[in-house]
Amino acid sequence: MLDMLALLRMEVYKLVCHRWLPVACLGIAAAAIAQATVLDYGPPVSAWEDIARFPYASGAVYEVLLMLLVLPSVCNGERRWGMLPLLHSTRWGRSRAVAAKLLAAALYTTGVVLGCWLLGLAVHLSAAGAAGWTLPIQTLPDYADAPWALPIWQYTLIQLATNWLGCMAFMLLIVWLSACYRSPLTVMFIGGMVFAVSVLIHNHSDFSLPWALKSLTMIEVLRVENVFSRPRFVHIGDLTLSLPPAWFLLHTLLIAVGCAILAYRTAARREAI
Amino acid sequence: MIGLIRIELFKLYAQRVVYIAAVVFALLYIFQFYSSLPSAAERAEDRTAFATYGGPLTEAKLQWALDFNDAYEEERAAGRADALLRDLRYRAELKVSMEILNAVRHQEQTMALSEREPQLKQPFQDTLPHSQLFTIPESDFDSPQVYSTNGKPIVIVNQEAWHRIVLYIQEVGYLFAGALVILGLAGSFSSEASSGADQLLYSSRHGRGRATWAKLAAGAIYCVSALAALMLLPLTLYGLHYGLDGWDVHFADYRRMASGTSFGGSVLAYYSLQMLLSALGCIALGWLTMLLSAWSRHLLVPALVAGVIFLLPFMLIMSGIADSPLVLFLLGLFQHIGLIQATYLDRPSFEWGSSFNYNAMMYGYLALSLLLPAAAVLLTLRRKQVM
Repeated sequence: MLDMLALLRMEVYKLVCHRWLPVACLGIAAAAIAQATVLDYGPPVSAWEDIARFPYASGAVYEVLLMLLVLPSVCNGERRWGMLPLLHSTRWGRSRAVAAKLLAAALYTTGVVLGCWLLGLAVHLSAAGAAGWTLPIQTLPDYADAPWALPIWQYTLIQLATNWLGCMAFMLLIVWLSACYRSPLTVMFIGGMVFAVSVLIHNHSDFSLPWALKSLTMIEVLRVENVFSRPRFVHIGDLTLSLPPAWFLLHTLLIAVGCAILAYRTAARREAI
Repeated sequence: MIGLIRIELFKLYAQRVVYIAAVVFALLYIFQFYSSLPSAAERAEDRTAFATYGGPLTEAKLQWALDFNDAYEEERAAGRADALLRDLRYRAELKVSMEILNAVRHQEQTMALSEREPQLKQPFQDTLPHSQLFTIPESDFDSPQVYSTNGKPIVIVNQEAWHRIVLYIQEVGYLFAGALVILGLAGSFSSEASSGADQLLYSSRHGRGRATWAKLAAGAIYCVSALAALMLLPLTLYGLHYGLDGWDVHFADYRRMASGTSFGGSVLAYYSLQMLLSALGCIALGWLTMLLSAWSRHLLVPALVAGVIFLLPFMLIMSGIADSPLVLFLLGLFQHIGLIQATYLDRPSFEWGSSFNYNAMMYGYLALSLLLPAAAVLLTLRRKQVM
């Protein structure tokens, strides 16, 4: 247990000692504050409209940027530095070390999600106050068609949990890619494309390749809004399938588990050449 | 020097990420192209209709277009248009007649704006007898031509292929080109720095001089080749399915994208100039990425910072905060998207008041974007310490 904790501490240190991480965090904080200063906060829900929109818009970009800055080299760093033979010849090199990497990435991602949410809440609440947090979510313009009877504060907690799940699935995809590819640039490009393609494709309900690229990745869950803002359907020919939020959450959970297994197996079985 | 450039080029082209990105972009574009491609029969009918009624606009063709359009409006008023539009030939001929009428209307608007005397030999408002059969007798093909305000004959051409080819760089091509340039050049210096090979390089005879020049030259060649590869895609696809006829037609006759243009050459000349400016824009972005790479040991940092700088105008506009002075300053400072899109090539010269020449400003910005990063790269490398 102590060995595992020591390994975990080392892996977390490797992730957060990135010299450019504080610069990126400062840049993101400055961008969020700059955005809050020019937003028009108005009644009846004041800051909550922008807080609810945060993970869908700028918040998702901040989280993905911070993940893509650090995580692409989580598994291939040793490979590039020629340290893999040494690592694999140690007692726990193919088992606990890999598990520690996955856990460290999970801790880093949790920190990123919490940090971004704290930033979003702090910026918007300090600019416009907390009034309106007990109103139903239907008072938010983007959620006028939402079928859920929830006050805004409860929905914000659900959003946080959903956003965290999406980020964890995305993190596991990045870690798996990092175990597959030697170059972190390749990992960053593929991860960035998964996010960008899902963001750029317009929302629609006809089963097709664009629909699959948008709805079958974890990015819809990471951005939350499309999962809860209205009842979701998909038309496959004459058949109409209802897609409740549980479907998206389960689907993302399965992706996360699949990526975790693949990441572990790929990293553990990697041959040091 | 040539040997050094060859080695640097080999290093750039040996990166797998470049090929993965190129394949992903190609697949995205091919999917989008084929999902909006009309059927072969429809394209064949379009080709036939434009071959019959297109080309230099004559009075007979103009009259045919007026008659055809009137008849179509009558059918539409009677609720029979849908049945007619199911006929591919009818639809193709309607497309040509609309092109003709749009061309003449455009001339009329241009004349009204410039308050010149009408120079059309035969104003199309003249009431001419409407024919029942919408075919032009052979003898009428040689009827007097209709001229535009600049004295050149109006040419009717199927705009689809060249319209899409020219606009490709402004719609999605700039994103593909920017991504390929950034991905390819982000590791130019930082990959050597991260592996410690830079110490060896800087202590060699030409490590700080010729080697850096060779890197810059190789970077420029890579940028041009990446852009050329991306541009081949729409040229090939549209050439295969539509044909590249109309390359010698005056650019101003492509009214869908060139209304109000001041460019006097053919569409191919415009496209060539656009590609030249886009290539220079790509080199500017590439050298900026190389400068960031010279400043960082991390492989990802130059790529991310260059990506943020490149997409900054896009992100600021999307975030809805494009009105504040700081944002306007940033928008003015980082215009690499505009440089690659080369939109300034055909923008009105004077904007923001009559004394401001936008085109000249953008050419100056392009020159600075090329010179400053290159000079900064050379300076940075000269001052690097060997430890």
